Formats: sequence, C-alpha cells, structure tokens
Amino acid sequence: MDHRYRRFGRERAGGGGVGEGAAASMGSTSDIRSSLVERFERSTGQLAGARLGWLDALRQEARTRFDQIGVPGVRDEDWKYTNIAPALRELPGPVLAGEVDFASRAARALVEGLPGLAEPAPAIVFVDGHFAPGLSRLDASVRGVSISSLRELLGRDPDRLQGRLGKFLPSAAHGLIALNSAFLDDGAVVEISAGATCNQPIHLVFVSTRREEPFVSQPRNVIVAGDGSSALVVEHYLGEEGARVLTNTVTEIELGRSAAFGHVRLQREPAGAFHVARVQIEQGEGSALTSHAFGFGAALSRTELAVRLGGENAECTLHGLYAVHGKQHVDHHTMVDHAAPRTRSNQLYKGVLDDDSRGVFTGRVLVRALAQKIKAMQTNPVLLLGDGAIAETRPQLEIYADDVACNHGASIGRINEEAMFYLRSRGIDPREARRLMVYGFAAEVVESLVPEALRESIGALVASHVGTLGARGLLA
Amino acid sequence: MLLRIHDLHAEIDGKPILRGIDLEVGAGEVHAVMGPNGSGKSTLAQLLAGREVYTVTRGEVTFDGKNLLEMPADLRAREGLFLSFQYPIELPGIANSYFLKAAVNAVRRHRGLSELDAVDFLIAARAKMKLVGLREDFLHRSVNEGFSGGEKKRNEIFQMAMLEPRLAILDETDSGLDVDALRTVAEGVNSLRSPDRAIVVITHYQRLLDYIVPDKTHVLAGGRIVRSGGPDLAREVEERGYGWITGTADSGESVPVAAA
Ligand SMILES: Nc1ncnc2c1ncn2[C@@H]1O[C@H](COP(=O)(O)OP(=O)(O)OP(=O)(O)O)[C@@H](O)[C@H]1O
Ligand SMILES: [Mg+2]
Repeated sequence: MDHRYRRFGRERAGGGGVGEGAAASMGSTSDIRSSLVERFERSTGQLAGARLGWLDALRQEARTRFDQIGVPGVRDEDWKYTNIAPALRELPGPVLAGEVDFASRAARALVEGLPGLAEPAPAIVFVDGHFAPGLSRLDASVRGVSISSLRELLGRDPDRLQGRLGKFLPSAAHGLIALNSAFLDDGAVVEISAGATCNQPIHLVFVSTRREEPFVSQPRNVIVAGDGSSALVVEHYLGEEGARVLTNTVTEIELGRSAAFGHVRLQREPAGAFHVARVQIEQGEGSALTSHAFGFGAALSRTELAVRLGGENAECTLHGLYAVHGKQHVDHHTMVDHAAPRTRSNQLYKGVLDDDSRGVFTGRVLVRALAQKIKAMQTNPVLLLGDGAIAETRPQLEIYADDVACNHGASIGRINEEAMFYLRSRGIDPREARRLMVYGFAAEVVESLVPEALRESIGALVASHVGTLGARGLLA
Repeated sequence: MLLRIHDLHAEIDGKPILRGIDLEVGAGEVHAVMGPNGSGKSTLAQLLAGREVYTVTRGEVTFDGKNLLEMPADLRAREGLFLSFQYPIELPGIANSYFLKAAVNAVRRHRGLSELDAVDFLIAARAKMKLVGLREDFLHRSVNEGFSGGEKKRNEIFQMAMLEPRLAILDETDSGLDVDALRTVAEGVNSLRSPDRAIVVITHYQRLLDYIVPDKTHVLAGGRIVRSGGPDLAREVEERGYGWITGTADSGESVPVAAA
C-alpha cells in the first residue's frame, strides 16, 4: 500500500461486493510463482538473444524481482478492484515458435478484417506471441521509419536495443511487468528517425489462436520517436473465438523533443482471454502525445498507461473508451507524472457497462514540486446499461507544486429516458434508439482520432461494438 | 375524424393533470390550443405522442380509428403522428443526418415505401432545410447540440417536413422565434397543409395564428377544454386574457398575453 497517494473520490453504483473471491486466492501467490516459472523453463533455452550478456542480466534481474514480489493481489491498493489471481492460478506457459501455425486461416481472417488496415499502411503481425512475416507488411515501410521484430533485431543488430529495453520502466513496478521482462522474447520495434513524418498509421497486430492448451503471450514492444518526428502507431489485440490466452504485454515509448505521436490501442481479445498491459511513455520537451485506448474484449483486462512528462511544454491527451458486457471486468489505470514545468495533461475516459460487468478507472496525476504552471484535466463519465453493472472511478491527485490548474470529474448515469422518447417520437424503434444513445455517448472519444480514414474505420468498429451492448435488456 | 379524444383523464405521480379532455380534429383542419401556463397543454401533446410518464386514468383516444393509447411512441410516429417539442432535447454524439435518416426510413418502411439512400436523403434534406432556413452544416452537427433556441425550433419543423406526418402537434414552436423565423416556420407549416393532414398548434400568441389561420381555437385550463371557437377566440384571448373564460378576474398565473 502506498499511503502517499491521497484518494480524492470514489463513486460506486449498483450492488454487489467489489473484489469478492479475493480472500480465497490470496494464499496461493507463492504456488502461482513456482508453477509459473516451471512452465516457462521450457522456453528459456529458446529465448531471443540468449547469448547477450546485458540482456541476460536484464532478464535475471527481472526474474529476481518477480520472485520477490510475485503477482499483484487485491491487497495492493493499485489492484484493489481487479483480482488477477484467478487468471493466474492455472498459469499456462508460452507457445514455442515451432508450435505456431502461421498459416492459420483464422489468424489471416482476423488480420484482414482489421479496422484501418488499408493498403499501404505498414503492419507487423504476431501470432500467439511470435512474429508472422507472412502476415506482416513491412515492405510498405515509409522513409525514416523502421519496423522490426524484436527477436530478429536482437539477432541482427542487438546494440540498437541495449540500454533501450526497460529504460524507463520503474523498477518498483508490479510483478507482471517483471514477468514480461524475465522472459521477453518477441514483439515489435518501431524506430522513427528525427524529423521523419509518417502519414500512414503503423499497425502492430497481436493475434491469438484457439489451441489445445491455454497459453501466455508476452509481447514486448519498443517505440522510439525521434526529435521532431510525427507518427501514429495502432496496437491491435485480438484473437480467435475460444482462444484461451493470457496476454501480458509491455510497450515502451520514447518521444524525442517536439515529437508528435499518436498511439491507439484496440483491445478486442476473445471472451475467454485475460489481458494485462503496460504502456510506458517518456515524453521529451515540447512533445505531444495523443492516446486512444479502447477496452472491449477479454474476460478480465487491466490496461496501464504511464506517462512521464519529462520535458518542459510536453503535453498528453489520453482518451479512453471501455465498453463491456456479461461478466467482463475492465480496468484502465492511467498515471501521469508532471515532472517538468509547463506540462499539460488532458484525460477523458468513458465507460459503457452492460449486464453484470465491472469497469474500473483509476487516474493518477502526480505534479512534482518543481513542475510549475501545470494543467491537468481528467474526466470519467460512465454509462450504466445493466442492472448488475458496477463502476468504480478513482481520481488520485498528488500535487506538490502550487501553480497548478487541476480538474477532475466523474459521473455515472443511465440512458436518458427523455432522449429515448425524443428518438422514439420520430419513429425510431427502442432498439435502434438505444443503440444511437450508446453510440452518441461513446462518439466523443472517437471524434478526436486522426486521420479521418482511421477515425471512420474505428468509428464503425465502435458503433458495431456498442450496438451489441445497446441491444441488450430492452426497456420496451 | 383523424384524431378523436374522449373524456381523457391523466395523472402523474397520483396528481391529476388532464381532467376530461374532449377534442376532435378532422383531416384538413388546423386547430389552435391556448391556455394559461401549467394548464396541461404540453402534457396533452406529450401524452398523445406516447410519453410513458403519464398515466391515463380514464377516456379514449383514436387516431384514424385506431386506439392510439395502445401504441408505443415509435409506432405512433410511424403511423403519422408528429410532435414538435416545446423544449427539443440535445443528443450529443448523434449526427442530425444519421438520426433523421434513421427516422425517415423507419417511417417509410412502415408505409411500404423504399428506403432513401444517402444521396436521395441528402437531396430531400437540402430542399427542406432551405424551406425552414437552416444551413446545410446543421445536418452534420449533433442533434440540437449547441443550437440556439430558434435553431432548435427550425430543426423541429425541418424534421416535420421530412417525416410528412398526417397529424402534427406543434407545442409552442413559435416561442422564442424572431419575426423572420416566425414567418419561415409558418411557411413550413403551411406547406404541409393538405386535405388529408391535420395540425394542432399550441401557442400563447396570436402572432403565429396570423400566418397559420386556424379553423378552430380551444382554450385549455385546469386540464379541461373550457371554451372552443373560431379564429376570433384567439384574438379575444390576446386582448382580454383568460380570466373571463376561466371565471376569475385574473388567471392567477403569469400569462404572457400581449406579445412583446
Ligand atoms: N413530469 C412531470 N412531473 C410532475 N409534474 C408535471 C410533469 N409534467 C407536467 N407536470 C405538471 O402538470 C401541469 C401541466 O404542465 P404542462 O407542461 O402540461 O403545462 P402547459 O400548459 O404546457 O404550460 P406552459 O404554457 O407553461 O408550457 C403543471 O402543473 C406541471 O407542473
Ligand atoms: Mg407547455
């Protein structure tokens, strides 16, 4: 527990206990640890860059760290509302490269149906955690942009990664990040040279297939955007229906001075999946980040977005939309560290919760003593559709400077009956009216997406996804 | 009779609001409904459009011979009933064009007509927007969001023109309109007048009735129609207020009688 963080507010709606079943899982953390490592042993001989001293040291250190802290439990303040232990109790091991069916029709079909993936946008695809050259489109590369598989790069030119991997990941971060580091093997590396402008979105695609055994997939991605560069990266996480995957992914992003960078995350994992993600972003002076995080899939997901505004005048806009149903659990956790003067952050996370689903949003904002003239905004409106749905919202503001404009708000509401009546009074049936209302609520998050082609394809995806939610539990 | 209301009583949360309304509106007719604030005009309009917050405790309503009270709101609209809201609601995130196309096509399907595609819809929409004096960019904005009061009212009439209802109920569509807008709105309404359609205009002012001359005028007070007459009744109300009808020297409420 970290008592430094003051809790400014928390709102709950709906009934039912939060984090129930937690007690039963607490005693088993050490079992998880040993079974986990056992299952990973099989892969260790085959890990990328096994002969590199610095990489070996990095893995060893992470492994030691993991042995110390294990997996996060609901007793950690940061994990209070998201109980990951049941997902890890039967923790599966990774799939070896030789076991992957890269010609899988299901994987191909999923990749071809991706939103925004129109030619000639470059795409790097991974199946069950391993680079799939046949599904990737790296020849579409743009000048000044290099896209590679981490594993390949570690074989070909490891110096480019030394000192970069783990550079900005806090050592105190939780056990699952350590686990990712301890067995890191493959993922995407995107390097954008200083001054380069890439107009096409760069797609990183992680597909899971249905396998006989459950498995873990731990992509490790590194993105470096040079000074004055401009680019957009879209991370897709999806899988075949019935795939039993635990995705535990880490993406490290470094933005140089005055870089303009867009990051989109589309988490659409299949119903049986668990998804844990950390996006760690370091921003240089005058850089601008626009992030869109969509959380639609998985039985349980936890997405952490940690941004350090390390240079003066750096700014970030963090937009998120989570929309889930059934018994899904979705947790978005943002951490913005205002470490330099005149930095700005603006967060808008919207949630749509149907049926008995749960949505958690924690937005931590840290303003350090030397960081004056700061602007930090945060809002988290949630639309509850299901009677059993529960929303948790936790703004956490920790402010040590005094020249700070800071604002946060959260609201939890239901479909506006007056608006429903207006729509119906025009002949629109309740099902369509509800769908429109839910989309209308979500649309704000999509509207800020550029370029237009991507906004349209993601908008269509959002419309069809929330449409399936809106169609449930009709009033009339 | 297109609309027949007989002995209609309705309440909300146990509080009676309509206390026995009788009203018949024939095809081709225009009726004006006036009455003091809080007398139940909007309640009647909303109830007819299918708002479910009101409980009907007595009486019947038929629309073209069908039991209106049994129909859900959206079916009433598809059957040809239209309500122009006194306070149109804002729908953030829902594009006016998307919303209206969905509405138009829902109504067209119900009438056995083919759906309008994007191009046909746009052509029709442009023509009607011109009629009510709305710029085309209003199509791409969220429904009513950030519209001025007058723009919201024009948007209501624009929707009416697109949906071509058989019975249009206009709830204070004239309130808050400038003189030019008033004329534009009246023209929009008049263009809809035809022998097989009817219009009920709820208003506080004679002004609108100078443009849309009603066949009949009714005064609603205390949840009842207390007087009916021809176009002259509206003028009389404008001059004398409601006291002489409702039986008190003053209606006791702030009735904006004389138009500003
Ligand atoms: N949803 C509601 N809940 C409670 N009371 C209501 C509701 N709707 C209407 N009423 C009450 O019913 C009465 C009639 O209201 P209504 O809006 O129909 O009046 P009106 O004749 O349209 O008035 P105005 O000229 O001011 O528009 C009022 O006393 C009002 O407060
Ligand atoms: Mg009224």
